[in-house]
Amino acid sequence: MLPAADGAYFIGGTTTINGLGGLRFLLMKASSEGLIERLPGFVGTAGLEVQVSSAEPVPVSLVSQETTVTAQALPLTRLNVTITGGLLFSPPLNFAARTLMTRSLAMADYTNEVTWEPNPVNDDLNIVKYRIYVLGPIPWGDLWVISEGSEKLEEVGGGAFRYYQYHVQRSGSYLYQVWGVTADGGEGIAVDFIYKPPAAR
Amino acid sequence: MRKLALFSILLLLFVPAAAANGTSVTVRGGYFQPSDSDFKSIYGGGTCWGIEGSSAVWKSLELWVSADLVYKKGHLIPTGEQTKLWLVPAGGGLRVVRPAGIFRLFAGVGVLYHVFREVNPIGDVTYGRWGPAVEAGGQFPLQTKWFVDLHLQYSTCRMTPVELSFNVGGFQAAIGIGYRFK
Repeated sequence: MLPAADGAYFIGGTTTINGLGGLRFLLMKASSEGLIERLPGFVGTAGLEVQVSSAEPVPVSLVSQETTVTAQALPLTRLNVTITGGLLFSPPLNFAARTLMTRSLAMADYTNEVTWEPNPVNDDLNIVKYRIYVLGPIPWGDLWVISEGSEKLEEVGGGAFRYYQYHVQRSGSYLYQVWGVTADGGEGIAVDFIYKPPAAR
Repeated sequence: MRKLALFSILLLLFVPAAAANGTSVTVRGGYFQPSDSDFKSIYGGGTCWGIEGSSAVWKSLELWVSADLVYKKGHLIPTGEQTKLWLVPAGGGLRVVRPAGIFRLFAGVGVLYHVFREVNPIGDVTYGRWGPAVEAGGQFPLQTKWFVDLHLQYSTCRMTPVELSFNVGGFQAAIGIGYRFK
């Protein structure tokens, strides 16, 4: 958390996805009255309640590309800030996935087709694209060992409610997150989905 | 295809002598129709561009060499996402030439090395293989050295670069303009 020049605070941090680690970044501007602004370039979470926090320099990796925040050492402080949301928008609906055998003339491969539907409550927003976070394959079993290179972030147009992931391995599960992005860079709440392709025969 | 082969064989058997004449270069454009059903459904037919050279070697016999380019965009099955194909059949052969008034008709056989490349979200594959080809056509003079070339060709070449087997051959009809050096 970092004080802004106008008396408000910049709040930065990470949230976790299904216990897999800090994968979702958050940066917003708030005061004791509530949320002032969710800074662009980051995924926000509605209804975040900050009970206790400490003031410290915002890590460079959390600074929005579109907002300059000067980091500085500050003494620890305690704040009670309740962020009620309102600038965030809702996740897409009816998320589904299936595995297809895809072919060209020379090549064939298994493909996960991920589909969703736009959320009607966002109809007044100009969602220009959807971002898709993919993690996998996650090997079946109790021990989740995530190999290097198994994460990626993709984008499709705002009118495309479909994403194809090629080179699917049918020996593990895939975690998908999909969220909308508006023309001004605002990002909506993500929908999480874990899909297990049918096992190879 | 069978008619083209039969025509080529008959012309080879009954050709009169001394119709071949000098060396020529032809630039052509036309339409390529693949014979493979998967090729048709994924890419369909399309334009092709090529260049051909020929030179008299003995009486009515000409040596020909050629290279063509077929570039197509298609769609993956069933996702519909884009896939691109480059096909370059290049090679040569022999043909006989028969005069018919001011026209020169020809028919021949040869071999083509088919360079195949396909790029899409599944991968990027490049492969090459030889295959036979037959050709027939006619040349119509515009003036002393320039001529119009009508060219029909059929080739076949089955290959299996990675998982799937397919034929990159097909029927090609093209029109070109040529220049004869002698």
